[in-house]
Amino acid sequence: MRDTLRWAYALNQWNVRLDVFVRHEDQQRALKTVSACGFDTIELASGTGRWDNISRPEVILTNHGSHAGFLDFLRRARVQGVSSMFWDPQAPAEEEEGYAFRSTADPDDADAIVEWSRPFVDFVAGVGAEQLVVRPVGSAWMTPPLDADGIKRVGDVWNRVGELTSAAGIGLAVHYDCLGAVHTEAELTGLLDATDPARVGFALDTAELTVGGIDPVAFYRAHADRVAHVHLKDTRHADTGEEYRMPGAESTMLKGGAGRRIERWFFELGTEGGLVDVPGFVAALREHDYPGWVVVESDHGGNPAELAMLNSWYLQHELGIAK
Amino acid sequence: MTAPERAIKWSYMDHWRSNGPSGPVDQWHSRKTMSAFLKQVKAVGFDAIDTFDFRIWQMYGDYGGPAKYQEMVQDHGLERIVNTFHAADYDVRNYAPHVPETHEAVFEDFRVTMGRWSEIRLDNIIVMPATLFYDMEPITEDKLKYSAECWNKVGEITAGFGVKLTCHHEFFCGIQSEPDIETFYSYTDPRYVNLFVDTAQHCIAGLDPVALYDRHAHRVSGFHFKDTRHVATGDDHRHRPDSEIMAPTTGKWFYEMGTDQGLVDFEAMMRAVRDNGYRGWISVEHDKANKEGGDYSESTAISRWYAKNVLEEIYR
Amino acid sequence: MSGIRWAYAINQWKPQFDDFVRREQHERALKTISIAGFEGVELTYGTGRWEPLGNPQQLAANFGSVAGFGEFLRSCAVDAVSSWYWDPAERSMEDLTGPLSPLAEADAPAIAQRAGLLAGALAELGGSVLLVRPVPGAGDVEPLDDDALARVAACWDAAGRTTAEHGIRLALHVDFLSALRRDHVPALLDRTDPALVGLALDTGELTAGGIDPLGVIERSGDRIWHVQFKDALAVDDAGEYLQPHAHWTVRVRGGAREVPRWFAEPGADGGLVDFPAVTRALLGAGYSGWIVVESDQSPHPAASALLAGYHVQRELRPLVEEEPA
Repeated sequence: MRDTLRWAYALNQWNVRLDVFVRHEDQQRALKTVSACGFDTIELASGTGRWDNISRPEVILTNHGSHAGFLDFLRRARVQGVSSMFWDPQAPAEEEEGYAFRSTADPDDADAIVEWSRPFVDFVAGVGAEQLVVRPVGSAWMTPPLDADGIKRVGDVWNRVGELTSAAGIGLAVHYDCLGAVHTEAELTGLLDATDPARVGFALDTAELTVGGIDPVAFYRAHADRVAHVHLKDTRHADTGEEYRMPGAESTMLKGGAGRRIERWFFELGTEGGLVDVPGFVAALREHDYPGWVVVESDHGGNPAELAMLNSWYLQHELGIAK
Repeated sequence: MTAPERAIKWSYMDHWRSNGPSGPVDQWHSRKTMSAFLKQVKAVGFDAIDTFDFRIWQMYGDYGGPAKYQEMVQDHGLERIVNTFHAADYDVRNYAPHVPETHEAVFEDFRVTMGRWSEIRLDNIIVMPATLFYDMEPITEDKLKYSAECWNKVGEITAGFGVKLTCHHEFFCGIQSEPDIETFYSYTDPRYVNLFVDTAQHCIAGLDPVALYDRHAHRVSGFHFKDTRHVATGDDHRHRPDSEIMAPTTGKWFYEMGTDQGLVDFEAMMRAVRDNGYRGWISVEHDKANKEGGDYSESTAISRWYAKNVLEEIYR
Repeated sequence: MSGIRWAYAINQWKPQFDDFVRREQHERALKTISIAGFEGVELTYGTGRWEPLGNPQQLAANFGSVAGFGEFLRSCAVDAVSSWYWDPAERSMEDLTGPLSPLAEADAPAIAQRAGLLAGALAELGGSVLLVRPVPGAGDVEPLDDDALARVAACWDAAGRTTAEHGIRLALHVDFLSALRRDHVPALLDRTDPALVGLALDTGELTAGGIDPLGVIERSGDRIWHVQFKDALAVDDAGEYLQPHAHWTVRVRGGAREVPRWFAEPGADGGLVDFPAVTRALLGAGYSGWIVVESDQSPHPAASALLAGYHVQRELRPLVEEEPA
């Protein structure tokens, strides 16, 4: 995309099950699709094990030998580089003490989580990406409500990781999602206040904020100086207020319809009935000379190639961005 | 993206399926699915579309005719409809190019068809120039001559509407071998009958599409760039009742340009297009891309990626 | 034990004209139907070389003969073709004929002849019922007056006479777009010969048309010669079936509400049909014959067949089997 904003595309939508998106030729086809849609930079998302060979840093390196080898793999498809990588330390991973379950809300877990971040910091820096994007805290339904002290403890973990990312010359951005224990606008602002602005930025996801009941445009305008990374996607639904607390909300709410027969939450830009004011949001980014990456994604919403092409069309024809 | 100085522009031939709530649907399913199709084709940089003749009913029924439908195409940033493919129901009893007694039915079909399309400008109307192979065999010189006479006359009819008649030689049709194609063109009138080179079909039939193109470049009026991983063997081309989907050897003949293990040498083809001074449209097709787990959206992106990153480096 | 036999309709495997053409696909579908607990399969009429299971000529072209197809069926552990669905408005490429209309007296002999052809093949394949679309859609014909109903009745009586020569019954399948939907089913049935023409009860079509299948069983139970169990996920309560080309605009596209899917296999989430109640009512009416389960279309045909098989085995067949002999 030829624009003053920098556009990237998230690969997570291709990796929908543990046994798909493993073969290199499948990954090449996805990369070529992204490239044909006008994106020359991608975001990666963390995973675990030998089948997450475009997700887990150690496994990527096993597959491609080195950071340079991985970049060569991308460039075969005319994708030039990596903008960012997403990591959720709460998601159990084989490489992290054999699927140990740890949470940033538990002070006893802090040292381990900081240690776990090192392969990601090294990889993000090694492939020349800019941001390590993290899920700052686990799901709300799994933990007692966080008070101010709890949010401060979470912030402290990320301040420590932020020291590592700063030392490596990359950014750290905490990402809001609609199920997280940091849920309300007050809690989110509290988390940003509990982190060091010099080391920890905010990854603003337009759809996740909207589902969570926070207006992404207003939030961006109020916190533009902290926004280091953007995920641009749309949604057709907002949480009625308590659905994120449903036990097993990842399944019961996001996949199980939330008792409302909602088959799908996240959509491509320009979707009919989309709740995100995408033109308004992008205009706000331009007003503030937003310097970071804008990563377009549609999450696990449908046919990945179709969604990438529809997103590309939207950027070109609704936002007037030349490919 | 449509800079006028380009020698080559890319059109997308409209085979398409997407997954609907009740199973696969084509883009003609609804205005929404049509819009999504056109957006995807445009997003990756195609300039225009080709279509099928039998879609004219949906153009009239849903959009108010070809001109109105073309307006929708143009509203999505695409230039126009370039070619239409005339998929006829050949039957030796009433409609067969090698059976002179049926020619009047063929001519009348084209008079009516061209009238239906006359509200827009088309470059080509594309035909399979023969019945299924098994309905024409043995392929004799007489039958090739009758077929040529049929298309000479049809070409005169379509020319009257400003549209070129062009022949697309499916590997399973009666005129598909190199000698038969040569004999056929020796009897056709170059003013009225053109060749439309489908890279995969010729390759499956065991011909070198580049050499064929080079021999007939002066009368080539367009291309389908698609790939295959298989050359027909044995009776593949004359399998009853069908070769295209039912050949026992091969469940899927056609793949998008840029596929792994493709047999067509597209770089050589593009050099030939350049060296013959061809200017105009190349159509990209991946007929039945959704067979065996394939996906039209992805195939469309991959083929356009290949055109942009490989072929346009040779000639654009 | 009642005389009820369970079959599954194969049409859901063919969403588009170039799908479901190859032999190995047919084999996998038939094996799926078999192992899901169904002993028969219902075919849908089609024409041309990409419809290998569409008509007797194509069966012969693909399997050597109709009997050859029967052997193929049995090799997949399916006992019989229960029934064949045919809409005379479908053209025939094999016979070079266009649409035939039961409203046109001149078409009646050709309709009877074609019905006889299909019935002959059905008889060879162990089937018992030819289902027909008795009239076009409501939006595509003038309202049916007495004369029209008389012509239609005469047409199907004649066709029924032909199928009976093969031991095959002819059943009128009234779908939710039918010109018979509003009030005319009894009017047509009453004009036909009960020895020659019966009714096919399609739970999904009736429900989508706002008609309670239990009411039909109550009124016309003695005329029911065939049953199709499919579920309805929506009702055309705005009368959209009266629009022209409703087959395309309403059935396929979902009408003004853009209903994503009208029909599904019995027991599907959101289904409107009470299948245990319908099953009990059929038993009460003394129904004996095939119950063909279908989903009509499906995003995942094999899953639909297996889910339907589960539902039949766990919920419906026990109702049938507990009936005193």
